[in-house]
Amino acid sequence: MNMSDSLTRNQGTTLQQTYKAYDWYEAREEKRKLRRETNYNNSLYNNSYYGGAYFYPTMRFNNFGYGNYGRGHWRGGFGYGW
Amino acid sequence: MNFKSLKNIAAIAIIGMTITSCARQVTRINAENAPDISGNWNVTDSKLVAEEMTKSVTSSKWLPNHLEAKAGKKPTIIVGLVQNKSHEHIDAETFVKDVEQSFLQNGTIKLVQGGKKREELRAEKADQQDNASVSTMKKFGLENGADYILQGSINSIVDSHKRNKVVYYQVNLELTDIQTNEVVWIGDKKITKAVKN
Repeated sequence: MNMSDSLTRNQGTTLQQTYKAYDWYEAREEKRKLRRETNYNNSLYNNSYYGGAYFYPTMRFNNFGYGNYGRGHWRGGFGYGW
Repeated sequence: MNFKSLKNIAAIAIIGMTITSCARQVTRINAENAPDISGNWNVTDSKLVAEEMTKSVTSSKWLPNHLEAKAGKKPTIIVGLVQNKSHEHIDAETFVKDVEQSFLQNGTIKLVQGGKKREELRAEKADQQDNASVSTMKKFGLENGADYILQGSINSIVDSHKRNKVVYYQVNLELTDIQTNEVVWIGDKKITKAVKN
């Protein structure tokens, strides 16, 4: 295909070279959507078998990420890493 | 009629009402009275551009000048590319077709196909060389060469703060003499919209 073919092939069409304009209202809606998704994902994490802070809110602190293992099992109020 | 059958009829009536009340309603409306829903480019904008361009291109001086210079020979136009550099997806064909239609209705302007439609025509011509009878077969090399090319661009400026937004669209179409590269006509339509969310 020579150059004239490639240029004339799109005659009569619209070349879309759009840009994204900042829209305060749309940006707010996007932020809200993102926050909802993050909250939803966090709630899934908190209810998982290996558990987060749903049943043991204080256990998320001071165990440096090691004490969460096995916390899905109820141990009379105390987790494995407590 | 016993109580049980009455109960069944009532249940069917309730289900029927529920289904009909949730059904989507579609109403045909006149394009003249199309409402603005989102504030984005819509049918009214396209119509405004088409009206302005049609009026301008057929009443501009380029046409009598051409007819005078070429001893009354009608100009031939090909539609080129339109660049949409705005922030929205806009298909220029919605208003360019109206302009093309005005050329044909005017009667003093000829239009030739370009782009993929022209490729299709040439492919058909090539096919005829093998499959059509000699008396009906169309020959290559007898197309009308365009005198002018119609090109265009769409630009926009968006200014928004909180719930308020002002959008400015500028649509330009221009006609250029293919032989001399001389721009003989520029049409423009500017639309400004204030949108409140």
